[in-house]
Amino acid sequence: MQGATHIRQDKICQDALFIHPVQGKDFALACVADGHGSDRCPYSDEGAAAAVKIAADILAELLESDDPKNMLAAQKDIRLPRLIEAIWKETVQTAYERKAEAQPPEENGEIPPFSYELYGTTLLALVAAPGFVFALQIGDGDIVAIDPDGSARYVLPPCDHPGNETESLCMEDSWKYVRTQLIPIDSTQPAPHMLLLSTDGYANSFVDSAGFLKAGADIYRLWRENGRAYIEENLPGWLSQTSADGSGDDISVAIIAQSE
Amino acid sequence: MSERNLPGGEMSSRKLDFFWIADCSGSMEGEKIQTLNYAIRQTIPDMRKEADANPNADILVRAVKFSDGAAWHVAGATPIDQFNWTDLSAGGVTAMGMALELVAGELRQFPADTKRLPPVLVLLTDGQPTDDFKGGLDALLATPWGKKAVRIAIAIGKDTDIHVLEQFTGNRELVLEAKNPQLLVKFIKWASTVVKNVSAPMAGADAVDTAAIPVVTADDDEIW
Repeated sequence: MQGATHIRQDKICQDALFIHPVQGKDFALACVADGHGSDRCPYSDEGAAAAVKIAADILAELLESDDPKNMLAAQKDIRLPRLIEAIWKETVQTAYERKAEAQPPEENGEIPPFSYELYGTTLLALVAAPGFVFALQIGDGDIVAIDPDGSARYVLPPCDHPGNETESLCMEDSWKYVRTQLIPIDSTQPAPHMLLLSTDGYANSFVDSAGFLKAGADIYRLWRENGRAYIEENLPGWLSQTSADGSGDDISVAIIAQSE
Repeated sequence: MSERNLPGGEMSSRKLDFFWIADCSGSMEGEKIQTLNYAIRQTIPDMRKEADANPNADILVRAVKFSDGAAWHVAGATPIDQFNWTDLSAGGVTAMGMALELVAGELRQFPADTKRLPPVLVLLTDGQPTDDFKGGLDALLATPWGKKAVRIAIAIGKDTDIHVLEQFTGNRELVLEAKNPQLLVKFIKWASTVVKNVSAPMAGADAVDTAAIPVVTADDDEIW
C-alpha cells in the first residue's frame, strides 16, 4: 500500500512484493522489499522490484532441488547472499545503462551518475516447506511467526538501528549484512500456523514492538474466525489506515498460512 | 484490535525532536542576540506548516541557552503548535560543553527504538568554548541518538572557532558562517527546514539537502 505521506507528497510506492505461485508446489515463497525512497535513491522502486524477483527466482530454483533443506543449510550464510547481491547489482546496473541510453543526449544531464545507491532497497524473503521454514533479510522490516496458540514472535530479531538508518542491498559487500534463519519443523518444533513478513512502515506505525506483534496475532485470529477471503478483502484498508494513523510510510505485507 | 478496529496495538506517528542550542555569552549582546531572537521566532510559522503537511511526524522543540553555564530555555519536548520563543539576553562566557552535556542527558532518556526520527540539533554561537567542549561533545556522541542526530552549527561573526564547530557537526558543509544579520536569518530559517527532510519516511540522518543551504555571495557584507 502506498503510504499516507507518499500520497500527500505525490510520491510513488517504493515497496515491492512478490508471491511465488503455489500451484503444483509443496512450498510457499514470498518476498517484500522497501526501496529507500530518499532523494539519493530516485530509482529505488525499481531496485525493490528487482530484489524481490531475483530472490524469489534463486530460492525457487533451490527449492526445486532434491534436498532443499540441506541445500539451504549449506548456502544460506555465504553463497546465497552473495548470489543475490551479485545478480541484483548486475540487474540494476543494466537497468541504469538502458535508462541512460533511452534518454535523449540533451537530457543526459538529468540522470545522476551511476551508483548502486540510486536503486537502494531492503529485502525480506520467507519460505515455508515440508520440514522447514527459511527466512532471509537485509535491512529493516519484520518477519513474524504466529503459533497455534495465537502468540506472535519474531523469526529474525528486528533491526535495532535508531532513526531511519538501514542496511541495504546497495552497500559494498552487502551479502555480509544478510541475516538468515533456517528453522527445522518436526515433532519437537511444530510449524507456525501463520508467517507474516512486512516492510518497516507497518511496525513503525505502532508505539512499540508489542503493538506490532499484536497486529500479527489479531490477523491470525481474524483469519481463523472469518477465513482467508475476509483477510484479503480487509487487509488493504487496514494497512492504508495504519499508515495514515502511524508512520505514513508505504506498507507491504505478505502472509503465508497453513490451509484450513 | 486497536480502538479504531485495526489489527495491532496503540499507534503513533513518529517523533522528531528539534533542539535550538543558543550562545548567550556577552559577545552576543546587541544586534547578534536580537537577530537570533527575531530569526528563531520567524521559523515558527513555517515549522507549524510543515507539521500540518506531515501529520505522521510529531515535531517537538526544545531550546538550551549557554553562557556562564547551560540551562533549558524551553524545557521539555514542546509540540511545535504550542512552541513560542521568549527573547534571550546576553552576558557571561561560553559554556558550550555544558550545553552539549545537557542535550546529551536528554537524549540518553530516549528509548532505543527505531520508530523515533533522528533528532535535529542546531548550535548557534559567535565564540569559542570556555569550558570542556570535548567532554560535552564526547558525552553527546556517546548517546545513540546524539551520534545519529543531524547536527548543524551556525557561526555568528568571524571570531568563532570553526574547527570546534566542525567537530560538532562532523561535516564541514553543515557549519554555516553568518557574517551579517541577513545571513544569520537565512541560515536559521534553512536549519528549521531540515525537519522536512528528516521526517520523510526512509530519509536518513544523512538526508540533509546541503544544496539548499543559502549561498554566501560577494554582495554579502562582512558586518560582524
